[in-house]
Amino acid sequence: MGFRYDDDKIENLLKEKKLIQEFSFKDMRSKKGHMRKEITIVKGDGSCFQIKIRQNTINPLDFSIILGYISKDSNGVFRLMRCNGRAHEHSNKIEKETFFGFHVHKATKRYQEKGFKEDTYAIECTDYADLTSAWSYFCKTANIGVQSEQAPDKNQMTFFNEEE
Amino acid sequence: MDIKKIEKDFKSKISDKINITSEGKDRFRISTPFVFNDGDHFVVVLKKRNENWIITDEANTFMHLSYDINVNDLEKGEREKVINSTLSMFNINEREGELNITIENDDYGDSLYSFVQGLMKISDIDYLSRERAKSVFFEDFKVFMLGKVPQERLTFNYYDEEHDKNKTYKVDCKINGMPKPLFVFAINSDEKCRESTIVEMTFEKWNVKHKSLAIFEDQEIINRRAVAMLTDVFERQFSSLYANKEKISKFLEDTIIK
Repeated sequence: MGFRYDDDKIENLLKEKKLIQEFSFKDMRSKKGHMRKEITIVKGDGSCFQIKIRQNTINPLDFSIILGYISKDSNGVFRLMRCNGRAHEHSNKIEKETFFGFHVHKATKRYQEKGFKEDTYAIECTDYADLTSAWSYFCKTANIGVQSEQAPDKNQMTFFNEEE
Repeated sequence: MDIKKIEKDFKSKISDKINITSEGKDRFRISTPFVFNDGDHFVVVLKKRNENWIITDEANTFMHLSYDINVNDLEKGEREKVINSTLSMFNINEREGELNITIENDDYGDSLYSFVQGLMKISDIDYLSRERAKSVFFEDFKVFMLGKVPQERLTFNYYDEEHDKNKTYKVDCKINGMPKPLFVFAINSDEKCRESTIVEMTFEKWNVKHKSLAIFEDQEIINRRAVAMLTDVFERQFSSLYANKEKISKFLEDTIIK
């Protein structure tokens, strides 16, 4: 089976600087039992990054922060990375291992080649313990910074997507 | 409540891989081998609500679906039908995004069995989205071609009557009216890519004079080797219908007037 992006490309996309406007988790909207927020960062070349934040209203430790990429030639979201909370087990299908705990999904070439969803591989993570600390970890790992209002980045535009 | 007995009931009714872990007062996490397509396991919790014991996903299933699907789309069309019929079929309740089943007559094993089956069916909505997306591409391709070329010059699913009475080697769209007709192929999978290459090579073998064009839905997701083989055979290709509509229009315009 083919793959869309190899591991080098995935790493480069993760490391690419991304600027967003400041926001608060208190502004997240609730529907179907979870809070959510979506941020789109449009690049100068027409491609974009997409950040999705989800937090379960019943169990706050059940959350997910997702970084996706949409190339200018495609209409599908490629999930680069996902920081999950501590509410369910995860199984890595190729390595045949299962664990329970905070974990980070990461896109890999090998999972794409096997026909699995690109971010099926995950590792346990002890660098965060709730949504707020997960967001810090996510921003650090995906090179996300807050855009200064005085010096906006001409090559990027940020949008907050509100689903109605 | 004898939790060990309940665990034994779960194992016998569903799988030996079921385990129960206490997580606070009157709350137990049930580990099952059932997963979403990204390796995350279903959230299944046994807990007491008022005077009843319930099995619940604590709203995780819909939250997980929302990674790929707009949650508003779960409340309309085909997806809503699938969800409602599943809830009804397996006696599952929905409460503000939380799916749950009430245990009656100490029927823990059967309740868990029904619940998990319901979750599996609902999580399949993610695949429903992708299958519909595949058929949408061919529809979009057809609409695009009809918008750019006079209908009388188009033949969809064309085959060569002289060489191919079994209609084995089909071209997605033939444009006639030129000295050499244009054979256009719409490609959205590895299989279609290889198949189109074979069809094109067969027409060459038959010495059928024509020009060839391949239009991908998204060439980036197609196996590289398959694309390479197609490239050796096709005269022209575009990596994405959606990102190249203007260029494809120009190409068609220039080609069909010659």
